[in-house]
Amino acid sequence: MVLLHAKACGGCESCEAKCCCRAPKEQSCCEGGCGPNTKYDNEPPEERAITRFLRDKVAPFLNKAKFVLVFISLAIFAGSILGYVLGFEKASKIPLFKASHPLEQVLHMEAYAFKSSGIEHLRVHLQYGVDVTQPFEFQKNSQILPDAYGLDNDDDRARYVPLDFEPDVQLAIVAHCEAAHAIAGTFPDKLVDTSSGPEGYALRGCYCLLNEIKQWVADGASATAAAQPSFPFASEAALLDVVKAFINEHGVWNHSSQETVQSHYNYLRSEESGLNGYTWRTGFVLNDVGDDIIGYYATFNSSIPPAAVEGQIFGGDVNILKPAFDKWARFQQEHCVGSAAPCVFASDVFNFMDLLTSLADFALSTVLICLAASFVVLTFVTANVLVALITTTCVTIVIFSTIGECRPKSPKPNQPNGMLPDAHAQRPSYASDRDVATTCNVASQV
Amino acid sequence: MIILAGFKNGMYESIFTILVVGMAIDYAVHLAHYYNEAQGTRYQKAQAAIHGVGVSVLGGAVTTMGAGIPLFATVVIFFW
Repeated sequence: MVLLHAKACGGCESCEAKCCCRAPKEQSCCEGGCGPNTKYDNEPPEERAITRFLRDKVAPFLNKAKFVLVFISLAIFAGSILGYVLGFEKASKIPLFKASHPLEQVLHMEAYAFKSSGIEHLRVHLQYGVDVTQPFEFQKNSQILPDAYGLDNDDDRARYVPLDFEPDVQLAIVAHCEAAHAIAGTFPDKLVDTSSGPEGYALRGCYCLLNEIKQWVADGASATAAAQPSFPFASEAALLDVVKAFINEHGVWNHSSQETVQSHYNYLRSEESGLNGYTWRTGFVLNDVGDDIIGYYATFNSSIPPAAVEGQIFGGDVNILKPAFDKWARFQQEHCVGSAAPCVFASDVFNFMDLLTSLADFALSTVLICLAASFVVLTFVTANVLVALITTTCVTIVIFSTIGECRPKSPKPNQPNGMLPDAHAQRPSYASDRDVATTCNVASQV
Repeated sequence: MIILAGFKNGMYESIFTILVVGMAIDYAVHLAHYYNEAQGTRYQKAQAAIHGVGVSVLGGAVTTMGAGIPLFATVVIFFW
């Protein structure tokens, strides 16, 4: 400001910038004293060439060609709508990096050389005793803080509602597991891979503690089992007693605060089978005192192919997961809604898939909402419905021209957005493939 | 253009679709507002709008595109 002041008011040091006269250079700056210079205020600014060009050339041209331009715009608009309807496919995967990115290469190798041995079955859970309209609640704090063990703790927990595990509820829970197990066919109709999991349990591929207990009581193979009442048990208290007896046969009932039956059952099965596959899969949830059952959950080895998540960080392949999700949703609708034992299904792999599909579905409706809102705002601002309508139409054409346009004859197969190429088509040939297969076979027994 | 480029309706495309609304409405609203404030016949009002804010609108479009050019050399990292 000082430099500008000195330059504009050279020779007039006493002038203040706010009232400095802006006399021509050849004149003395302060002739007539300081004050607002009205010389330039009365003169119109020099017109720029570009504005003259727009006014004298572009505007007449647009006026002459207005019908042609309107026709072209409408043709593009119609083509875009057609392209959007016919040609816009939903992405099935969430890209992270370009396929050539080093980290993507590492993920690719990990997925096919290592990770596949650990995702032999995607699990789906049925949860009882929770609010079916909002089964889980999440902490309001957006910070993910480490817990006492240094692990990330997002502190999500089930929202339990009162549910008495009376005989009708017990029968319904058992029936649900049997129904899921009994659905035959192939993926995605078949919900559970009934050929998976160790043999000797009530329902192969299903981790349903109550079904196990029912069979344990019915078999009566041990003195403890033979001493139990028949299924269904007369009350929730009776059920809890049988659960304790079931666990005590192989382990020690040692419930205390913050523990659940599940942990004991996991210990039990791990000891028995030598496998660790029952972690987190089935059990009753007790209150802090340990004298009341507040929830129950069962897990199923779903028939969803592991390819749905191989090489994926987020969610998985929607094209594979969505039919399975719909099938489980139908199962829930048919068996859980209106049942004596209301339940919800859940799976980690569905979470991000649902986000992706919801976002894609909501995008177009959001555009329509914005257009409607813009029309209303423009109508009020301009007080001219016609101008608002034309403006909104122009915006609509621009949006759909950007999105729709026309369908390419040969879209890039399975490689939109620089995502991973098709997993199996470009699977590298690793020397350790046989080892991986062996590992999968062993792990798939879980 | 999204389809023409071979993209599918994924997360980024959905976000971009919503972004396009704001980007598209900006220019049209400026022209419409100036047109509405101008005097004369329809042609004169349109001419005045192009004359009055045409450069600004074009400048805004060019600078927006210019700001986007460096993004072609980047990799989108989601949740990272």
